[in-house]
Formats: sequence, structure tokens, C-alpha cells
Amino acid sequence: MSIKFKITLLFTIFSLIILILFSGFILIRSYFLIYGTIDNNLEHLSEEIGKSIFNNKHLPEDIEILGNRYWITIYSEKKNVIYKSFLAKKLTKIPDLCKSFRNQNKETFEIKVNKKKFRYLDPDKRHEVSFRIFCKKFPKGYIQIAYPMESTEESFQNLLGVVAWGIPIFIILIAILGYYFSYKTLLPVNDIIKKAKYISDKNLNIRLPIQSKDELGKLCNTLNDLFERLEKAFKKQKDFTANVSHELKTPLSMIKLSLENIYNNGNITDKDKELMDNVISNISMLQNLISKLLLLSQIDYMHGNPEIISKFKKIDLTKIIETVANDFEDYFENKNIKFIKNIEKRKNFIKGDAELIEKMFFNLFLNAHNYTPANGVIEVKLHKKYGKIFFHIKNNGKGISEKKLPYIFDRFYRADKSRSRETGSTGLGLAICKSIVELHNGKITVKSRINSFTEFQIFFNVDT
Amino acid sequence: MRALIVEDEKNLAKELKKILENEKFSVSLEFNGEKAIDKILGEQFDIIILDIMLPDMDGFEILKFIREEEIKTPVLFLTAKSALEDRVKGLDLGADDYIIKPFSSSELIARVRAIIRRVSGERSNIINIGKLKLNIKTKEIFFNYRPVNLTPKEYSILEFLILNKEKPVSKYDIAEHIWGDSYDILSTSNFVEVHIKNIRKKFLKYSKKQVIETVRGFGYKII
Repeated sequence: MSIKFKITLLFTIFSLIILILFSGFILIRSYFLIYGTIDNNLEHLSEEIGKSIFNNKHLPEDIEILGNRYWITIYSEKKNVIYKSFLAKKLTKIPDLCKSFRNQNKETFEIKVNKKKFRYLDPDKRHEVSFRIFCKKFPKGYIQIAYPMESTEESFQNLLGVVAWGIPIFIILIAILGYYFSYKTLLPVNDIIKKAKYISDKNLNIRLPIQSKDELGKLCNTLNDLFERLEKAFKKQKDFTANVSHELKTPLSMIKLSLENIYNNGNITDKDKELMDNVISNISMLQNLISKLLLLSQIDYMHGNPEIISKFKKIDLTKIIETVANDFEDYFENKNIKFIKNIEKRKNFIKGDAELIEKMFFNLFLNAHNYTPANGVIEVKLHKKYGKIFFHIKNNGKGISEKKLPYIFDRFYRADKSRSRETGSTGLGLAICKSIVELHNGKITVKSRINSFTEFQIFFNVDT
Repeated sequence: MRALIVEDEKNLAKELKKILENEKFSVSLEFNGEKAIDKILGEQFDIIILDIMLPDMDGFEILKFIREEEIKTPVLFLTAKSALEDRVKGLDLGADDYIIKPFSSSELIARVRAIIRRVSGERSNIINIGKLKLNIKTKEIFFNYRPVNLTPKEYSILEFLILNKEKPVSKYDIAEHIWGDSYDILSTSNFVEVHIKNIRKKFLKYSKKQVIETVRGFGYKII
């Protein structure tokens, strides 16, 4: 789950809880407020009426008017009905509650009555209506006064309705706003992700942009510090490889030249000569290895220096491939390999280093040469398509198993160990090819089927 | 012929001296820059072999200094750095060639001879060995005054053998001379065999006698 979503969800859930608590509180508060007002009103009325009838011995003057809104019943001391208001007469269903209470002076009840009996109460709407009933005991009698809660309940229902509709609407609004703000806040994170993905061992000199001084800015700073340290460590390691290789060169020169001097001038037996041949060829191999390591670190160095890459000149791939292919025609012929050359005649320019590109093609041709059996076939193709230059080299032969295929561009990886010992391969040739292709912003891929073929494909961007 | 070798690695310098002495050079050795400059100002040499990395100054400074003194003696740089790194700098300053460590004695001899020939006038660009005539400037080959059509690689191999005349050259050294040392040396030394085979085939048109002799288990030699 994305952080954006998590934040929105949490935010919404908490808002929902707060909203529910708040509206619950409001509802309960208003419930008590409304009922309290009504109860007070009823008590006040019964007090007035009681005073009038029991002390002054006559009904209040406005009893008829009150009777239109309240259900008033007056009882004598012996709980006989003295007076029933107009509505109370009709409302037989309201029980004579006063008759049942004894000890208390006053009491409030609420009862529900089927309201179908009362036409004037709009029977279509609901079948039940609540009555708030107040009974009060006077020294000379009782007064029971009831009030229909219909309109109050309706307002209360309305209020509930508002809350019931309001909460989901507000929650949706809050969710949308929450999502929008978390999206806005986390937008720089996406930026960081994109930039950080682009940074690899080849371009550790790139830094993340710092857009703000908040936590994200601090994160960028921390990551940049990390890249700084990584770059230094990488550089140290690369420098180490380069330095070691350099340091090995002078003693190696010494050994090589001394041996050659002994070999050419000394009086040595044929047997010793044979042994020395072996040593000399192994020194050549060692020299080859050192030189390849230096070449790789050199390419890595160039890769990390945009100013070197920007100084690349326009070079013609067609010409370079033709040069390499011309030499290899002889080598292929010597091994009775059929060579199918399908190279576009026109010039195909890219920006690059001609020497490195030639090395790369040479290595690919060499690879094909070494792994094609005598009487085999090698096919080479160069063509331009969709603004890119494609190069294929395909040879039949043992092929490379699917398991080994992903590793063949790794440094020191040898797919066929016994075969590579025979050919003196260092396991760096294809790694060098890959480095060179990537230095030129190209891509190299390999396809192979066991006991059938191996095919390398390269494409570069055309330089116009 | 007189040569000066300026190299702080004494053992290496001595080996270089031996190689050139075998080729009938009289060789002086210097191990640091200051003394080398004194020597160059005081004596006449046919070639100076100069290591770029010296303890007191670098080879570039020495070269700059002696060129400002109008001394035109050809200079061959020795460098441990690969071609990609230092390629242009030395040549810009007026060095005649550079050679990357580690190198073979054949390579050194070929370079030294080629430089000396190049700087000492038109006529010395042409090498004659028997009926074979080679122009190292125009890279043309004649046999019995008839031009021989060789590919660039074939020419380079033949030139390398001719510059090393009398001395057998190993096929590894040839491979290194042609391709440099960053290619698979076993493969490229096999390619040398292919080229030699083709060179021989081409010369067969002119003469039944071979121009290149195989030194068994080692390499080749020009006859």
C-alpha cells in the first residue's frame, strides 16, 4: 500500500471517528435540551392551571386556547375527572396516569399511542406518535397534561437526517482533500525515486536536487552524502585497480625484456628454450590481462566524465566494421567458416571513440570466430532503422545455455571453462564490449540456443 | 649509432641497454631528469629513449626543454599509461613516438629503427633487403621493382619483421605490435599465422624462394 493511500486512509478514519463523536454529542445535547424545555413548559402550565382551579376555584381563561395544543385532564382529590380539554376528550387512549401514582408529587412519562385514531394528527405520515405526559399532585387534586411530540420528533429526525447525510459527504470530501494533500506533499518523493533509480555505479557523480528545507530536503541531503561516500569508495577501488595494474607494468617489462635477452643471447639448451617459451607466453597472457583491466577502468573513468563523452567525434560505423570484417575474412577462410556479410553501403555515423568501437567489434568477431566450429557459418548485418543503427553478429555452434546467458557480460565470467582455457580467454572480452557499447549510449543483447546458434545484437543512436 | 636511455628503474634501463647494444648501438644511461638534460646538452645522440615518469621531473618537461634548446634528436617516450590516457600529449610536444610498457625487445628495436629512419631524410625511408624494397613512409612494398599488394595488417607484419632483420621475432610480439596487448593474445597470435600464410602466398607469384622463415616453436624471421 502506498504511503499516500495510508495517510489518506488514516486521516479519513480519524476524521470519521471525530465527526461521529461530535455529531453524537450535539444530538444528545439537543435531545436533552428540547425535552427539558418541553418538560419545563408542561410543569409550568400545570402549575398555573392548578393554582387557578384549586385555589381560585375556576378554570383559567385561556384553557380553551391551551386545549387546542395540550391534552389537559383535571382530577379531583379522589381521582375523579373534573375537566377534560377538547383534545383530551377525543384522546381516550392516553391512560389516566395520575390515577396510578401515589407518592410522588410530580412525574413525567412518555408513551406511544397509535395515532390512526386521531384524524387531526395527519394519519398518513406515521402510525405512532409519542406523548410527553406530565402529572402533578396538588393538595386538592391532580392535573395531567400531555403534549404530542410529533413536530419535535420530526425536527429531531430532520437533524438526524442531516447528520446521516452530512457525515458521508464530509468524509468523502476529507478523503479527497487528504489524498490531494498527501499527493502534493509526497510529489518530491517521486522525483527522488526517479533520480535515484537513474544513479548507478556508472554515474555516481549525479546528485539529487534539494527543493526544500523540510524532512524531504534533509532526506535528499542524507542520500547525497551517501552517494558522495559511495562515489569516493568506488573511486578508491577503481583507482586501486588502475594503480595496481600500472605498478605491475614496470616489473613486467623488466621480466619480459630480461627473459628475451637470455633467450636471444644466452647459451641455453633446447629444453630450457621450451620452458622459457612457456614462461614468455604466460607473461604475454598476464600482460594481456593487466591491459584489459586497465582498459576497463579507463572506460569506467570515461563513463563517469561527461566532458570526455561530450568531446566524442563523429565516426562512421560502416567503415570500422568493414575494416574489422576485411581482416576476419582471412581468419574465417582459414577455418573454413562461411561468412555472410550484409552491411549497408552508406555511412552510419555515431558519436564515439573509433579506437574503442573497433576494439568492441574486433572482440565480437573474435568471439564468433573462436566459438564457431570449422565449416560453420557466421552472419553479420548492419542496418539503420527508426533512427537507430542495428548490428547483428550470429554464429552457429554450441550455443550458450539459458542459465549462463545472463552472466556472459560479467567480468571474469567464462561460459565454457575448458574451451576458454584453450583459447586463452580472460573472461573480460564481452565485459569490455558491454562497457564500450554503454559508454556510447548503446545497448548490447545476446540470444542463443544450445547446439544451434549465438547472436549478439547492438544498437546505437544515429548521429545526424 | 648513439642512444641515450633515461629511465629511473635501473634494472629496466640495463635490460634496454643490452637490447640496443645487441643491435650495435652505443648506449648511455641516465637515471634522473637533471643529469639527462646535462647529457643531452653536452653530447650528440641519434635517439633518446625517455621515461615519462622520472623522480625529479617528468619526461614531458625534459622534452619541452630540449626542443626549446633547438635540439632535434628524435625522442621515444616510454610510458606505463595506456594509449587512451596519454596519447596526444607527448606527440603534441614533439615526441617522435611512444611505446607502452610492457613491450618486447622486438617492438623497441622496430620503433627505434623506424624513428631514426624517418628523421634522417627521404632516402633512409627506403629499406632494401635482397630483392625486397620497403618504403616505411609511403608503406609500399616492391619485389624485384614490382609492387606487391598487401593488406595493411600484412604490410605491418612484414615491416615489423624487416625492422627486426637478422633477429627472429616471436608471434606474440608480432600480435602485440599489430593489435596491442588488450586483445586475446593467443587468438591474435594465431591470426598472425594466417597473415604470414597469406603474405607467403602473395610472394609466391614473384619468387619460389620464401621471404619469411619460420622459427619453429617461436616465431618468424625475415630472410
